[in-house]
Amino acid sequence: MAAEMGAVLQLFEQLAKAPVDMLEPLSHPGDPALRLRADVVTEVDQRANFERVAPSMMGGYYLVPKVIE
Amino acid sequence: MSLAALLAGLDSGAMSARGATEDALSRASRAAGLNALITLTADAARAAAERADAARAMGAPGELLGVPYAHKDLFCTLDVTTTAGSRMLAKFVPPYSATIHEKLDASGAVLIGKANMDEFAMGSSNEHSYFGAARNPWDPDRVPGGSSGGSAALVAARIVPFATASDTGGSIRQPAALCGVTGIKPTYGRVSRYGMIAYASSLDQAGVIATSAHDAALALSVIAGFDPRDPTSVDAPPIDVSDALSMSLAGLRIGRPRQWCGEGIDSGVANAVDAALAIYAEHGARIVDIDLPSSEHAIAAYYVIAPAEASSNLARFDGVRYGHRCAHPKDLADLYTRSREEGFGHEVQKRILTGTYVLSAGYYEAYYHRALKVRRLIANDFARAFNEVDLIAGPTSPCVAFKLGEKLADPVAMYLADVNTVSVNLAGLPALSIPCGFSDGLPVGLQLCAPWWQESRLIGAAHAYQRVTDWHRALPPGIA
Amino acid sequence: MLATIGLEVHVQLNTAAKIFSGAATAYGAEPNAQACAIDLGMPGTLPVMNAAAVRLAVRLGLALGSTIAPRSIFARKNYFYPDLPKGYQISQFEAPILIGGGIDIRVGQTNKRIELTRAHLEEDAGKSVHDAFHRESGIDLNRAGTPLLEVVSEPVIESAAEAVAYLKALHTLVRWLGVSDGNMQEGSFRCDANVSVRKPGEALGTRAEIKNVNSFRFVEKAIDYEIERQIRIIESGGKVVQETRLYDAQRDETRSMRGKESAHDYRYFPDPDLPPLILDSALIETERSRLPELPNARRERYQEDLGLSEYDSAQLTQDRALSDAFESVIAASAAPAKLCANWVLSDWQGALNAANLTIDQSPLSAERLGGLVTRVHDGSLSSKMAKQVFEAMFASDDSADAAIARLGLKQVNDIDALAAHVEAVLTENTTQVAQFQAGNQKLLAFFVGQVMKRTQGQANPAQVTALLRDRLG
Repeated sequence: MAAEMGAVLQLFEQLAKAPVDMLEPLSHPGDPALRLRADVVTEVDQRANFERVAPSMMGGYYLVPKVIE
Repeated sequence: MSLAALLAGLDSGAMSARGATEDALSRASRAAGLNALITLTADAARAAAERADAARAMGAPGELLGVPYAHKDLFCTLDVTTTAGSRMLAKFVPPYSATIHEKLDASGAVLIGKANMDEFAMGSSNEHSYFGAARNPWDPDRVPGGSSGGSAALVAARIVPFATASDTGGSIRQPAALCGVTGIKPTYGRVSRYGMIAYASSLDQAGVIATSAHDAALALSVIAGFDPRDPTSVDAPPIDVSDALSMSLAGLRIGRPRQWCGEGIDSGVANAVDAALAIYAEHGARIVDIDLPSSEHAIAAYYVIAPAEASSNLARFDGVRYGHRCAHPKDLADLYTRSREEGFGHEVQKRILTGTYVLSAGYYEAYYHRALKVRRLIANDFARAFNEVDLIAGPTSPCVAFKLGEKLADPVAMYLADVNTVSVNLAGLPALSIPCGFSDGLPVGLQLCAPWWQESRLIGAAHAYQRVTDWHRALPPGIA
Repeated sequence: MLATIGLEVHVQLNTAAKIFSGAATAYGAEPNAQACAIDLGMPGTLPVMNAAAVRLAVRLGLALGSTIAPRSIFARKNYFYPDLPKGYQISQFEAPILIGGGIDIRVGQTNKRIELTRAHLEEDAGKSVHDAFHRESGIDLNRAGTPLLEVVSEPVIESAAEAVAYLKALHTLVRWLGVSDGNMQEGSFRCDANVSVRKPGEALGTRAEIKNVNSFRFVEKAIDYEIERQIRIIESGGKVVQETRLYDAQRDETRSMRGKESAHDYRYFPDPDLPPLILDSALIETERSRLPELPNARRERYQEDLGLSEYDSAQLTQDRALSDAFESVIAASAAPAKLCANWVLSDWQGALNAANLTIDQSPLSAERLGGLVTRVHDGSLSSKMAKQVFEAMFASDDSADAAIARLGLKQVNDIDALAAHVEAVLTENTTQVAQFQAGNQKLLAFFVGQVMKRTQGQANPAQVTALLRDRLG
């Protein structure tokens, strides 16, 4: 894995050669604006459905090894 | 049989959904060696076909009523296992459906199964599937391409008239090219991403693979359209298929980027592409040599941006709410580490690691942030080019289908094979690949790329070519 | 030693649905019953931004005098934790929605403006339950995706008292504007405090962050404890460590939260699912036009225009509903504002508190109370009678006059009728009249009492006294 990563990172050196100094980064193709939705509750309780795909659930809670805070 | 012909047959009553579905299922079973399907939904398909026949008898509408198809196993399908080609989701039965599945369901199309793919759509050969590599129908010792290898193989082997697929850096077009079929990646935002398991959100786009541009257009027009559940879905004017199909090539300006046809392109591939462009010229198109000078940076930018997004997108697979969970985790860290190590394959782990690295504090500027600027550079290149030409054309893949295992040892070589496809995703543009000949007996793909939202121009140009050529009708050995 | 405090307040925005999903934000549902596929980070699901969260953030920004960013960016904050379903929190990092602004506070006799650094939109995480299961923790994701606005102050707060004054002012404001219900028990208004100490003239010291303190009293105690702790460390020659600390209310101390190191690399990057939030001026101007009179402005008006005391003005502007009710009482009453304020703050609030009701739930409307205050002012009721009438009105739908009539409690104000009673009393008590005229002034109270007796307490004692003095020369 380390050798493969090294080769991939070498590939990235190409970026240093690109003439990008004056450019704005492009995170979203087409430069769209965020679309907003109305503040309406559209979801119903589907816990039983989601519980079917959960590896470990009890009393409606997802279980994980004890978290110490 | 083509989708258009099947629809005509269903309409006239000469064919039934049940018959078409049985045919697809028996073809799938004969071609099981291709390993193109991860899940076969034979019983549900038969039931759906019967419903489709009944609906048609009642005169119910449905653009694809009774047409069998397969989904790339990246699209969530209610009550049907959806694996993303990964052990992580090997037993995941989604309690919801992708928007495109709802649309296909509503159109009356009949799902026969879920197609094999590179794990989480990461790969160009389909060899990174937890369920084993899919095979190329033209030569089972060769890869079908990826990541939508199963979808391309199913269509090439004429098991289904179309299959859904997704394209983050070429994952529709490259397997379509390697399998000798037509694949279209629409404009970013044209087809909903809701319920499509994310690889790299700003690059992922769903599309279709079919045997012709005409068929691809029919299927695409069903899955396309605005979806309020997808934050980057766009309410664009719909694709006018009939308009596209009557488009003339006369006066069409086609740009041939010098950077797409340079070194690294197999001569057989280059020859086939040149011949295809000669056909275009013969029918009135004007072929113009153009430059996309930033192309040389595209691979680096893509393999920074896509893994960066993936490293974050795949963080949700933690063994808590769904998906693979390791046995007897001793603590929280153990739960995360082992669930993910066991659930993700090598290529996925490598890309997560790469993505984590390029986003980390010391490297963000040099890698991720700079890659986003390169992305702007590349998008600007295309915008400039489209001031002069209507379409851009070149080889989809620099090589034909390679042997299984041939490139696995050299991942960078595998990445470099995406050279002509990734820049299109970086810019968000629509593009397709159509078969345009053979090299060493294996199909070659011609890539066409159009400005934003100009899918109809792409489809029109591809259809015009397919009206005067037969490459898309060529069948792999043993397939009738 | 000087203390420097910066506060980060998580304000839960008052929306029906979550910030990126259509699941309800209501408090107290069964575990995970309000966590939809998006909140759970199910594969393939996507976030879509709630417009109300944007509007509420803009509204608060306008009230705080912040710059409303025309373009703000959602970023992913990446870390693994079981209450964080996607493995990242959608927040704003480099480009928040609100920049700058401030809030005026008053501590003792000193006014101070607390400048703000920024405020950004983000989604809340879920909740872990540690004591319900053997060797396991339970995760409830109902809260995941609840919209938050994190308001970050500049490090300009210099004492626990200032911190509390700032928090109370912000708390009043967010409730005043309807931006948040501000319910601290339910976690709608939570505070992290960055505390450092230094010697005068020195640069800012190393800070410790106290996490998630959710009452004004605990904020004060936690900060005081932390300042003392840091001073002790420095004065004994030690060094304060930069770390996250938790306030333990039972033991009244802060203690280090191991494992939550602040050096964590969150790998923030722009969320590829969420394009930049572009705010057009129309939305901002709509919110501006809907902005009510703000509590500080109203408080000043009460003092300057209505002549209320500083204390009463502050009391009356702590809560929008109370203040609006007071406005309604003034509008419905012919009495001076001061008298209205007394009735609102003492009798009305007292009755509501005793009945454990909010002002919105009051059985007595502001308009009816205004009628009562009018009757007190015009002398129709003695204060003792007024309290009886108030009780009757609180327990019925009667107007002040209807209640007075029902109780037969009208104070006799008719001068002629009163004069007749006075005359009768003087006629019946000639001995006392003679003694009074001989210089025994104390007998005035006796005559007043006799008149009150004759009128069954309904006479206005002040009027009676005046008539008696007049009559007896």
